[in-house]
Amino acid sequence: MRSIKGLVVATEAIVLLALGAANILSGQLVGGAIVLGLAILAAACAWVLWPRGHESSAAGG
Amino acid sequence: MQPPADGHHPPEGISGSELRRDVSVWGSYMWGYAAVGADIYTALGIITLAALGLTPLAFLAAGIVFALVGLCYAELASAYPLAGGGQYFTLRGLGDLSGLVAGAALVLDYTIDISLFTVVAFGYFNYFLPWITFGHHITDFTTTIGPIHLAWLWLVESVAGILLLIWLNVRGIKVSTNFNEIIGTVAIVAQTIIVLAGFVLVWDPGLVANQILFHQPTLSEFAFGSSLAIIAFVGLETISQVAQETRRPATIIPRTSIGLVISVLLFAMAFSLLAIGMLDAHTGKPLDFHGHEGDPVALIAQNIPIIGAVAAPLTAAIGALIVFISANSGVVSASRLSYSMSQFDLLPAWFSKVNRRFATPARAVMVFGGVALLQTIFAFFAPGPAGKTAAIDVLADLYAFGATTGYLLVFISLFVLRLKDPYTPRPYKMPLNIRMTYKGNQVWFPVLGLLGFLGVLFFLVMVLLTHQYARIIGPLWVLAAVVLFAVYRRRRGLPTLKTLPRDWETATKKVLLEAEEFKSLEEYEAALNEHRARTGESGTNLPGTPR
Repeated sequence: MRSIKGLVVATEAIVLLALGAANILSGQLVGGAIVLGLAILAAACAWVLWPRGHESSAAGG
Repeated sequence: MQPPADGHHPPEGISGSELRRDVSVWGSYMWGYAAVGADIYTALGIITLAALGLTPLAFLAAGIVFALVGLCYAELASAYPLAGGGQYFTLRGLGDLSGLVAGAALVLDYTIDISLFTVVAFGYFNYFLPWITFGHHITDFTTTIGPIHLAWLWLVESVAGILLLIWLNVRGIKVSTNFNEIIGTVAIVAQTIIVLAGFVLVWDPGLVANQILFHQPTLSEFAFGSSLAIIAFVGLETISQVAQETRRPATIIPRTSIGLVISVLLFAMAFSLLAIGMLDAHTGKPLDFHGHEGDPVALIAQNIPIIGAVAAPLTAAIGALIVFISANSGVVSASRLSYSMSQFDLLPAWFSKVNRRFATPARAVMVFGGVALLQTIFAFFAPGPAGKTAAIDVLADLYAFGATTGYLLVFISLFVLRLKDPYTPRPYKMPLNIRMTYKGNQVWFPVLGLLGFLGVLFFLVMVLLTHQYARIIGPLWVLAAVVLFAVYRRRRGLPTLKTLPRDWETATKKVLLEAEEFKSLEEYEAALNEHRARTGESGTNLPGTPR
């Protein structure tokens, strides 16, 4: 369960990154910049939510 | 929480041993997410209607201030890992009267949290009403009495919901951390699917530009909308409320607070950009949230092609559940906070007595649940525009006052504690600090803390200028708390304006020991010994410290 959150948000970051790049390449610079901003936020979120090795056994809720 | 059965107050006002340290890093995060993650389900519709094309900017402005508040709480909650949150930090930094004001403001917020989130939870529930009533919508169950448009069925549902919350909390039936985690994870997955599908399938940056340029609010509307947007981020207190039950708080709390700030900001920005950047599938016009104040995220989901038919009811069901759990966290937090306040003689001990049969703080639950009930009834009977209930608008209007007032005092406490209590180890410090000397001690002044203070002050002024209910009811609530405090202190023969003497040094050592933060404990003792050897003073320089 714990690894799902990090994985899901990491996937979100990757898709948003691709979408932002596609927007920029198609000339939608502002739209691309907005989506890239969201991708950066998602990547930061995924990094924080990613389970660290020693926590998976200790974290019981 | 297991308060002492006799409401006994230990001398330093700390009874950490009653709270078992059982919350892990994910537990701490999910408690916060259960409170803050639900906010976007509540806030999106009303803020989009207020801030129009500049909705993402309103969310961004509030989000930046929220991030600074989050860093401030991360520092204070990891340095002082005790239940009580903002009220405790303010009490410790500024003394009893300020601690009371912060506590009263935050308790007001928790009671509105109970009301607003229960109403919105049933807003999402009512998404299914046409399926149950053969096509009737909630607006069909409305009676008009002069300027009042009473959505009586919604009122009955909300009252029943609050009574259920009171009953559950009096009986001590808790939302377990595991259940919290499952629901939180489902919500994160569902939100991610909607965001990705929305951005890939329907989001139109050209429409966003058009909305920003040609659908702008007036300055007053934007001020109102951005000060409402702060409600999308309220609830960060929860992490510090469970700090006393968190394992290794010095390590865990900064990480969970920062994780919470980033994830909430991500979804708030993503949903607000979707809200102004997609078309209604039926009308072909930009999304209109009128009539969808109670289920805004479901409106977005139902207008996404391919997944909409399934995603919308699923979103409504998840929204109803997560928002109702958030309302429950309001009941839990209000009783925790009033328990903490009564331990410090800010509220009568009556509030902290526990029910013998169920071992819960039943009185606090019933009093603040009752206040939430009255607020809900008042909000439904408030006059408003035709065709919709004013309940959500009224409760949202009230919500921002308590948060901004409480956060403002917490920022001031951050400055004071940095200057007057440099001895307590801070496993996490807000970034960007200026080194200076204060009364012979080297201290660090938080520059980001100053920016956060100014940001929160700006939003408080906006609330007072543009929120017609909050600017009257908010100060009246705080005034009533001060009167109750004065009467209680007088009856007990205690000073009203002076801070009671407290042994903060023993309290800090006890808390660090119980939290098994041995390194921090050693650092604390070393810092105090060094200070004493250098100055010859005996104690720390905080309000209430015996000289």
